[in-house]
Parts: sequence; structure tokens; C-alpha cells
Amino acid sequence: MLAPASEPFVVFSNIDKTFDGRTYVASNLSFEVEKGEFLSLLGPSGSGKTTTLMLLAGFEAPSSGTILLGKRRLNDVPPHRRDIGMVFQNYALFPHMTVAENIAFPLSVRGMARAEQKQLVERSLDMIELPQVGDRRPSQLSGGQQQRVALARALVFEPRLVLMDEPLGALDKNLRETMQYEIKRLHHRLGVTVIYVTHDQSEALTMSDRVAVFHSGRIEQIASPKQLYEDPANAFVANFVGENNGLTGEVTAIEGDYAVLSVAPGIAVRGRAGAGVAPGHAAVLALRPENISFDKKALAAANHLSGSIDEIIYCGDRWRLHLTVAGHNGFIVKIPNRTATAPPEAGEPVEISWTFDDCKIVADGRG
Amino acid sequence: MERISLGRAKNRVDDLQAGYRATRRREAWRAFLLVVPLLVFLAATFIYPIGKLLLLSVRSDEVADAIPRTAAALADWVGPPTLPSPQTFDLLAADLRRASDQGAVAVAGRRLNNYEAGFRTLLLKTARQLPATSDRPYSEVLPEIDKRWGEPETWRLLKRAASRDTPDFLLRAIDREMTSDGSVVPVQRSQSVYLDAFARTFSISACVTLISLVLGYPVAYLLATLPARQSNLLMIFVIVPFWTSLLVRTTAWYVLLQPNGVVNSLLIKLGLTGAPVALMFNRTGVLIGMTHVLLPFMILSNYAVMRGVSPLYQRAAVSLGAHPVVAFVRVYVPQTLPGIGAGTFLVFVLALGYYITPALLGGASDEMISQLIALQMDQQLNWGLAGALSVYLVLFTLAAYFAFNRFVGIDRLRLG
Ligand SMILES: Nc1ncnc2c1ncn2[C@@H]1O[C@H](COP(=O)(O)OP(=O)(O)OP(=O)(O)O)[C@@H](O)[C@H]1O
Ligand SMILES: [Mg+2]
Repeated sequence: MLAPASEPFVVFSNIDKTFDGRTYVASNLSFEVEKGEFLSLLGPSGSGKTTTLMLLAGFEAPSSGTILLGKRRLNDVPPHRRDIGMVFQNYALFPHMTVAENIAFPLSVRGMARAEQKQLVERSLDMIELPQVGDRRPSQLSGGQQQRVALARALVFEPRLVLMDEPLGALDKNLRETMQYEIKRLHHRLGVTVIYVTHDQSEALTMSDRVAVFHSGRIEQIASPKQLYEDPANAFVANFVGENNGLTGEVTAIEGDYAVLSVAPGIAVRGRAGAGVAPGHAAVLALRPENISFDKKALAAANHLSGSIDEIIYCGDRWRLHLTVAGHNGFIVKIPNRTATAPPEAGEPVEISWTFDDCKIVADGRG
Repeated sequence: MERISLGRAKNRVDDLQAGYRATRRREAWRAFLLVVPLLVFLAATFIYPIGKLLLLSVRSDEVADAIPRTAAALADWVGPPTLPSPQTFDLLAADLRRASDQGAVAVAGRRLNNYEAGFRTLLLKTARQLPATSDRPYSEVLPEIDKRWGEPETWRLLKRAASRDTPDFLLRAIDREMTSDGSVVPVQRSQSVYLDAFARTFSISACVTLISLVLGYPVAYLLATLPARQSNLLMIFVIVPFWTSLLVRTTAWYVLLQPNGVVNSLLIKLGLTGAPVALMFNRTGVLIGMTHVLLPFMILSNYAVMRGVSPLYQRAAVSLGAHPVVAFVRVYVPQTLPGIGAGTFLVFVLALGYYITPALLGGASDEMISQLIALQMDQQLNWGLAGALSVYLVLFTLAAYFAFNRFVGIDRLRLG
């Protein structure tokens, strides 16, 4: 589901945020979120993801710029009036209340009648498939159950927007996958707008309609997962999202939609030219390991390089090879594992190739 | 087959339980050995003396020890309106003679004075004037020395005082006494002081606790939420009073609260009052002084709990639509209940036994029960009554403990 071209629901325009007056934690943030969209904020630690959520929730005020939610300027609305549901990384379930009381809390502070509260709480508990835990304390639930309760509590008052700050960070891998699915299911079912913070890129790619990649308080790229992965805007995105064979070099020529990058004396590769790539400037190759082939028969319109295999790692569904190519080691190739086919041997010299369209030459990022 | 495997399973469960119990026993022993030194220390310095004092409230050996044969004879006497048998008079004379050789008369006299003023003088005078021998019966001689020996009431008191187990002090400590026919009645209005003193002790302690809570809770909150550097600095201000002697602090208030002291001058300068306000030798002085001394306990108990309450919960509550004040009351305060409970309990119990501060800063109508206990012990020398008052104070404290345990739960108490 790509963002429909309707009115934006959440609008950040030119938001700056600084805590100490010197360094920007968010700098000139501008982005829009459509109604019903699932947007992930992805980025390394300290890149300003939580801060962005806090600005939206109202626990931090922007140093400049405006935030709109459903056309309403949020800057002066106190946090408890914003009607934004929030799920915290460590759940923040109130330990002195039962699960049912926790879920009823947002309803009771809104002055809803008790009978109605009870009904809604029961429905929420059904929704998270934990109908029998209402009387328990949060501490008597498992991590995954607590997470579901936190989710139910953030959704029960039908907020227009739900913010989640690394909600699955504390769970183990299997549970995390189950919960990812659960969250997606709820998102589809309720049609609520979600902004989801994570630093797990596969989580971001699998769950989101769009992903915003944060880096030092800026958005490097905001795009659909497919676009982000296959068409990264710059070297940071290419290297941060998924694995990348980021050979660096200097652009020697631009030929139509393609750029030529010299990665070692006498060795040049050709790929789609990214924005801001110009002859004479440094640039980076964006090439996914699974796009590389050992096929001996020459591909049309392809780059051909030779290298040697340093290491082979068995990963079950695929082989992962570490190569030295054009004088750079750490070049990664993934090939699917077919039981009957023997993989290449370590130490073998190999010829690798990939088409011009399977790679991109991107600018070296900022600074 | 089935049965055999069932039996085996049962054996395994039994083995498991036996092993578990053995481990538990070993742990219990280890724990016990670790606390033995403390237990010995406590037994010698605390439990034994306190037990002794409490026992004094129902024991009265001085008179029975001084005049043992008279005491035995009086036990069979039916009481007023008749006088005891002439033999009892003889026995008393003999006992007194022997006792005055051993100096026991004064001790017994002091005890008797607890029953009626002047009894000590009577006993000493009688022992002094007792002829070495007499050919007349002592039932005539003694009333000649003092006519009170001819009154049954004197003998009744002697009989009460000579009995080794006595409810008198326990009754006296709640302004009751036992009449000659064995019924319990309130003492005369003019002598009834202890129930009032208990009520006063309770209300002063409750006031001090409440004031400490109102003053201390916000400070503890501030301490728990400020950045570490400022919080540590503030903490010093809270703890410094702990390093200063109680007497010094109380004396300092003594100076500050005087009619022409610092506080009054300030009030007058600020135009809040025209003439000096009485801040001392009244309830105000007691409350100010005691609150000042006990406030750190309240602050520290709350702080210890608050430090463990994440501010995230309040954020979560606000994000769910609660006004910050509502979030504080419904989400933060309940999580600090163990701290409130601990602080309240600690301050209240400490206040119950307070002594120096009310003695120095209070007036005649602010006497707390500890002051009365001290008065009985070192001025009236009535250890029985002191013990009886202590019994009630201990019971009072235990009641506070159980109430606290019931409402807050002692297991939720954290002090560090
Ligand atoms: N209250 C604050 N006062 C001062 N600096 C802060 C405050 N909150 C965050 N920062 C700084 O702002 C920057 C961004 O923090 P933020 O919490 O938004 O990062 P994040 O992207 O959520 O990281 P993570 O993935 O580790 O949660 C960090 O450098 C952090 O030190
Ligand atoms: Mg964060």
C-alpha cells in the first residue's frame, strides 16, 4: 500500500530541535505521513528517532518549525490533548493496576461510563487474544503478553495516530516475528496511522508502507522498502539498509542514465547514476550481494570483475562468500543453496558479473 | 506394571521433598548462626531490660520482701470493716524490727507511697518508735504510735501493696483503680492524667506525621527527579541534621522561637504580626521541633521508593490522555505508597516515644507519655507505674505496626 495522493495527515515542516543550543538533534526535518500509513523511522542509535516521536507526542517542543496533525497545528496542544496513542519500548504498563485497569485507564481519564469501559476493555482483550488475563498484574505476564497489553492500551481509545518506540526491542527473535505480524494485522484491521521506530532494518522493511532513514538528525531518504533497498538515495542508505558492496572511487563519466565509476586503477564499473553524481567527484557503488552472479556465460550490458574467494560461510538457505575484488577485500556475494550444486571452493580465482541496472552509483553522502 | 511405576514416581517425589527440606534446614541454620551475635547482644541490652521493666508493671516485691510474715498473714485477712487479727500486729512489729536493721523499710515505704502519700513517713516513724520489747499486745501499741494503724483502710492498702502480683499499676496507667470490693472504677478527676496524656501523645504524633508527609513528600519527589548533581547537593541539606545532636537542634529552636527570637523578629519585620507570637512552651513549639527532627526520616523513606519509580509511567499516562496532575495522582502516587507507608510508620512510631523536644519546647499541657514515664522513673521512683505506662506505649506501637502492615504491607517496605 503506497501512500495515496490525498491530504497529508501528519506534516513536519522545517523542524529543528536542539537540547543544548549547539548541536541539532533534529535538523530541518520535513516529511508527511498519509492517513492509515505505516511509516517506520529507521536509523542508528542517537540519530533522533525517539526525539522525533517525542516532538509528535508533545514531550519535547521543537526549537523551530511546525507540526500539523490532521491540519491542526500541534505546537501549542499539550501532550494529554493530542489523542496520540503511544507504545514504549519497555511497555510502561502501570504496575499497580491490573491489566484491565491499565487498558481502561485512557477511557477513564476521558470520563467514560464504567459499563462502557468494561465492554471496550473486553473487546480489546479479545482483539489481542488474551481474554482471560484482565485480572492479572502486568508483572504476571510474559514479555510478549505485556507488549500486547501495551498495544491494546494505546489503541483502545481509538487514537488517530499511534507511535511505537522500538516496541519489540526487548523480545527474543521468534516472539518478535510473531509480534510484527500481530502489529501488522491490527494496523490493517483498524486502519490507524502508525509511526514506528526501530533500528532493526528487516523489521522496517517487512512491516512498513514507507521507511524514513535517519542519520544525525536528518532524513537521508524516505521511501517504500523496495525503493529504499533497490534504489538508495546515497551511500549512507545503501550501506545502512541491507548489505552493500560499497566500492568507492571517482566518477569518470556520465553516459545517459548511467555513470562510470573508477574503483581501482584500470578497473571501472557502470551503473545507474544517482542524484548528485558528477564526473570528477567521489562516489560509491551500491550493489546488493544477491545480484552478483558467477555465471560463466557473458551477461549482456554487465560489469565483469575478477577476484578470489577468501571465505565461504554456509547459511542454510544460501552460501555467503567473502571475496577480494579489485584490491578491496570484504566483497560479499550471496548465492542460493541448491543441494545438488557444489559451491565454489575457497582460494579459487573467480569471475563475477552483474548487470548495469542491478547496481547504482550514489553520491558519497554529506560531508 | 502400572502400579509399580506409580509407586516409583511417588518415591521420587518423596525423595525430592526430603532433599528440598534438608536444604531448607541447612539454610535456616546458616541464617540463624549468622544472627546469633546480634541476638545475644539484643537479648542482653534490649530484650532483657525491657522485659524486666514491663514485668515491673505487674510485680511488687518490695513490701512483701520487707515484711514477709505480715504479708502472709494479711493474705488471709478478709479486709475492712474489721481489723486484722492481733497476731498480724505482732508480726508487723517483728517484721519492722528486722527490716529496719536491713534498711528495707525505706524501700517498702517508697512503694507504699505510690498508694498513698505519707505512708512512707508512717512506716519509718513506726519502725523508729517501736519499743525494743513490749508486754502489751501490738494491736494496742501500734495505734498509739500512729492512730492510722487503728484504721482498716491503712491495712487494706498495706495488704494490696504486700501482694506480689498486682494489677494496680496497669489500672493506674489508664486512670483506673480497684476498690475494696474488687471493682474497677475511674480515679478522681484531679488525679486522672494518663488517658489524656496518651490521647495527647497520639494526636501530637499524628500531627507531626501529617506535617512531615506534607512537607517531605514534595522534597523527596524533587530529590528523586532532579539531575544527580543537584539532587546530591540537596540531599546534603536533608542529611546534615542527622549529624547534629538532637539536643543541639532542639536548643537551637529554643533560641529561634523565643518571644524576641529570630522567628518572631522576622514576623514582626515582615508586618505579619504586631506583637511576638507565642511559639514556645506550647503545642506550636512541640510540633515545629518534632517535625524538624523527624522530617528526614519521611524524606528518605519516600526518596528510597521514588528513586525506583520510572518517570516513564507518568509520560505514558499523559500520552494516554491524563492531565499531568491526574497522571501524578493516579499513576505516580500509588507507586510510592510503600514509601509513604514506611515514612508515616517510622515518623509516627518515633514520635510516640518522643521525649527531649516536647520537654524543652512544650508547655505544661503538652506533656507526652514518655515524659510521664521518665517522671515516674527518676523523680517519683515509681517503677511499677513507669513499667505499666511503658506496656501501653509498647502496645500502642505494636498496634501502629499492625495497622501499617495491614494497609501497606511490611514486605513492601524499602529503606535504601
Ligand atoms: N533530554 C535530552 N537532553 C539532551 N540530549 C538528549 C536528550 N534526549 C536525547 N538527547 C540526544 O539527542 C540525540 C538523539 O536521541 P534520540 O533518543 O532521539 O536517539 P534515537 O534515534 O532514539 O536512538 P536510539 O536508537 O538509541 O534510541 C542523542 O544524541 C541524545 O544524546
Ligand atoms: Mg530511541
